Amino acid sequence: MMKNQEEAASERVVEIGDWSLGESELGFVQTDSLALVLLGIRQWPGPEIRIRGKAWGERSLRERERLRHQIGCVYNSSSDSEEWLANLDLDENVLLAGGFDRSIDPAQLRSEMGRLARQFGMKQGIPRRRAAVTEPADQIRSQWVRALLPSPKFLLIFENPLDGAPEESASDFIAEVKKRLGEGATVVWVEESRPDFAALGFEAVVDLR
Amino acid sequence: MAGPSSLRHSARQLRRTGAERRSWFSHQIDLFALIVECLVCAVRVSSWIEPIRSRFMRQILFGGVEAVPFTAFAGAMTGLVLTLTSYQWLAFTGRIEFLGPALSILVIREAAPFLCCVIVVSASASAIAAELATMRVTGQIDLIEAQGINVIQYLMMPRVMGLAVATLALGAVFIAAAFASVTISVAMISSIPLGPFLLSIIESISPSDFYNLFGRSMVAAFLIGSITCYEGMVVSGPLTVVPQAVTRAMLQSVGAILLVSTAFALATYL
Repeated sequence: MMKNQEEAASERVVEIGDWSLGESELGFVQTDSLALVLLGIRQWPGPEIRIRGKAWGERSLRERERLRHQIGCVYNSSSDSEEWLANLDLDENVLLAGGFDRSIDPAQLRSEMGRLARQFGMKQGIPRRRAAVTEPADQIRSQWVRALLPSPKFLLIFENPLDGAPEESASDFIAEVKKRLGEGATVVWVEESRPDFAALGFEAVVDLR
Repeated sequence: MAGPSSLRHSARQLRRTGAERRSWFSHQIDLFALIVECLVCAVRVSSWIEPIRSRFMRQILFGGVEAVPFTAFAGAMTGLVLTLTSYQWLAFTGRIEFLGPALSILVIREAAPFLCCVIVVSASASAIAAELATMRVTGQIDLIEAQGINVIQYLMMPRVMGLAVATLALGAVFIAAAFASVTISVAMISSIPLGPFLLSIIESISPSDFYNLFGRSMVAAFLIGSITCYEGMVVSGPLTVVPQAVTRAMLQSVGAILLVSTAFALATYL
């Protein structure tokens, strides 16, 4: 009985107190910013956060790095933190995390980045310039690509992901998110006001209020 | 011994409690943990992946190559000043035959490692501290950690190692410029024949001079890099903390240069 409970708990991908999400589930959290808290980078006064059955404090440094490497994030552009490293171009930012994974072929990563960028409406690919001189629409689309690379990601955290995005690209992004959900990824959608998920085409959403 | 996880814990603790409430001793423990982690990371071949190599080369470019003209100028001026002073005193005491060996010791063992480290602190260390402190307060370091990237491997190790290599190379530039200046000065102010004078310099140089130069430059530069990275990465608060971090980093770096110089002088002459 005890073992079954442990197994059931470990199947949950994200747990915040009593609220939890499993594979292929989409959860909604009504707040402005939560990604860095979910990733165990920033402390918060709320209930304990567990990823794949364990709190961040119970993991070794290497384990934390490995796990974070498999989590993709889109950060809220209106929060007090930067979404990009200011001393790198956007394409370098997008490729940075993948560069630390020796099992990934850099050429393949670059081609996957180009494919996703074109899919999201950036015909020239990810801009080769600093975020400070890039349009918000290109920034948010580049954030989508960064969140999805290198795949697979078992957890995707999206903070206000459609903010500033062109409408035609948003539908491509939603289609990609549905595809990732179908492949088993868990999605946490963070926004201050609840979007109309039914209109976006998402059927079941687990709410945390 | 404090490890990287305890360091991060300390950094988080620092964010909550504020720098003023932490003791000098706990800062030194954190710095020591950071230095150990950086060294371990640097000797691991697998750490030198493409983004790290690229950052390392950039650091050598910014910290070393761009400082070459100023270092050559400083070397030439130092060579001139040392020649004039040594010539006056050795002529006064009737020991002018020691001019070559005296200048060799003063330039290679003392002036080159010390002044190159001071140049590196002025040109690069302040920039590193300011860059990392800005990255910390604007959340960019959190962003790196959030992608599963080891902050010490990505931010600290290539900067520290790049600074060490750049300082050693600047030492060579400094010595070349200083001896060129020494040769011209001696030719202008004295009747000493240049051939025997240059021979006396070459004969007085021993392998220990190079070990000394290598050790002083590398150890001091490694400490400078570690201190500046540490001071940059542990700040918290608004952007106004950035200049404070730079000031702390520069003062501590100069202190580290003096300590390393003293330690090497004691080891060499005692």
